[in-house]
Amino acid sequence: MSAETLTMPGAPRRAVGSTRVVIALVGCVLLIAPAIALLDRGLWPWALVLALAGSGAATVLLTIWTVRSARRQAMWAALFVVVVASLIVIRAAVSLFLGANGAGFGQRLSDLTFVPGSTLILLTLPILGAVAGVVLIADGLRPPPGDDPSAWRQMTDARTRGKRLSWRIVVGALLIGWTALAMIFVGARYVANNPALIPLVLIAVALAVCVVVGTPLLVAGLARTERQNAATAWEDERQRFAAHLHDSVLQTLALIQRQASEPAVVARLARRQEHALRAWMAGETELFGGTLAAALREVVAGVEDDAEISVELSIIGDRALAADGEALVAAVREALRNAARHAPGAAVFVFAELSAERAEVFVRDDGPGFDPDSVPAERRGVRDAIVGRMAAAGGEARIDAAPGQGAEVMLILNGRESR
Amino acid sequence: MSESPLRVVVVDDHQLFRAGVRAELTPHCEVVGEAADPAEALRVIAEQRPDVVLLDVHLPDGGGLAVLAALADDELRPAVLALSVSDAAEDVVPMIRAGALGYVTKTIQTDELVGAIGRVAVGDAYFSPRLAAFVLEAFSAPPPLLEDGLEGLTPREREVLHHIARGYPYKQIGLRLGISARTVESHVGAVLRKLQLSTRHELSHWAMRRGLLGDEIDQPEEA
Repeated sequence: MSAETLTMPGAPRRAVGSTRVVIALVGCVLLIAPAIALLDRGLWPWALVLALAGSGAATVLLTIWTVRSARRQAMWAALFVVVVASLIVIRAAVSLFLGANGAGFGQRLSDLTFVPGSTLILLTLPILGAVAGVVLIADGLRPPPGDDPSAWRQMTDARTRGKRLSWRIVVGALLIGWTALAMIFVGARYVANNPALIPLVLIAVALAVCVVVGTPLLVAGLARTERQNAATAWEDERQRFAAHLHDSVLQTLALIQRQASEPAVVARLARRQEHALRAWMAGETELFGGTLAAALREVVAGVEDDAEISVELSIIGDRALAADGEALVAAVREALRNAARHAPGAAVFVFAELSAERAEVFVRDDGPGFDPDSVPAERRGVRDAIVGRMAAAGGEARIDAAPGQGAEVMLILNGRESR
Repeated sequence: MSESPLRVVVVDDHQLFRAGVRAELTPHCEVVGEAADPAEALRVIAEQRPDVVLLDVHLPDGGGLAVLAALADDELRPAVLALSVSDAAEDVVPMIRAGALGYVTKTIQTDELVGAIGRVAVGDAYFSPRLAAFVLEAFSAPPPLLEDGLEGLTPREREVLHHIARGYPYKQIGLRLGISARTVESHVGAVLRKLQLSTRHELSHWAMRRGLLGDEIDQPEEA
């Protein structure tokens, strides 16, 4: 491939357009070959050269395709069809010259469509074998498929793949060798009968050498590009990892070392970092960014950080974070701060059941509780802030508390958001 | 529980964690053994015959599930309380389905942990709020498949789980629902049995949605 593919990950896709043009050209060549032979038998060497060149190019193209494509079976089938078709074309061109001297157009046409079986098989088997050999060698040269794109796997897997001599390469070489032998014997017999065939044989041998030598080289080049791209991607991923760990975990560890004498601060820092790292490892920050569940996690972590409380958070389901979701999150923050203020040290639980139809969040503390009818005015203000905020968002808030039984704030949103 | 302390075995591959749990539990229970992997765990359990095993989900050589699978045939098997730093449902629910009576996270407070140990020691289930949420989620995904004789949760069971997920203790749940704490406990036990009896088929929809197909889930030997 060109130099640009070496440097740009994902660039091979851009070659698709030019590949199509090449395929179209090869197809034309394969069609023109018999046409020339049909029009004037004097042009048979040109027809043969075209047929050979076309089928050789088609084979190379399909080999590369087969090796690179994800849908291998389909490509193998296509390869088979092309090889057989090319053989028919070549055989037809040969028979036009050998068998139908002086015959009319109709005779030539029938020669084209009816090809004696034995010769065809004789030619088909070894050539198919050789093509299979080339494909196998090319396949053996490509890098192991990156089936698992997970960055985590790439980071943790030991990258110790040695350069083993693949069985594919061995079998491929054997197949090509066998074909070469067969062709030499068959070719010798033909040439002995027909000295005029010598130039044809030379062309065929040259083409075969080109295909056999060129395809693996080409594919190896592609494989190198792929490997390089994979290495670049891996390095990018590693740098992203390192950057993240530096900003988060190392930062926190440094803070912890500095404040080692204050257990409360250390515990808070550790908890905060734990939340962040868990969310990052689970891909939540990337996958669920902008959802209500992500916002709830964030707000709970934030309050745990500011106020020294520990919250057990359970979330079922999720939904998009719309305007009403933001109001809900703000109300949860208020309720958590309230719990931290009035039930210091008590266990706090947040349970959220989220779906597109309905969102319910329960914020409960195991503190001393209170009698809702006799709360002081300033506490009522906080309560009104929660209730008012939810009402403005089209939801509702309920407060359930009794002395000695803790307090629970229920926040409910119905339906999809109505802005 | 007070006259003879409960005998506990701690299975976890982190030595520091085992030491920490031992220190925390010592005033309340007797830690009679520790193990770092499934094979060692089974040996220690066979030797000590503890009342309760604290079993980490993530262990080398098959994890906590391997221990539960091996214990399934044991007539005298101890109560198992699953313990994990993970708070992923796909780690926790299979442990419960394989026979653990409860699940707690490693950040649990000591008194909560002692309470949970006491509860599973007498054969009751211990559902932490988060486990209750996981179980609600597991049962809410597929509709009950009655033609297979499989049961969903009854409205009452659902209500009880819902309260546990919200952080209510059993006594308060009983008060709120107008039933006794003992009845709350029996509802939780019923949920646990349904979870253990439910087939792959029933939970597979849920499992698939979460990207896990329970090939590592061994069916428990008995209800």
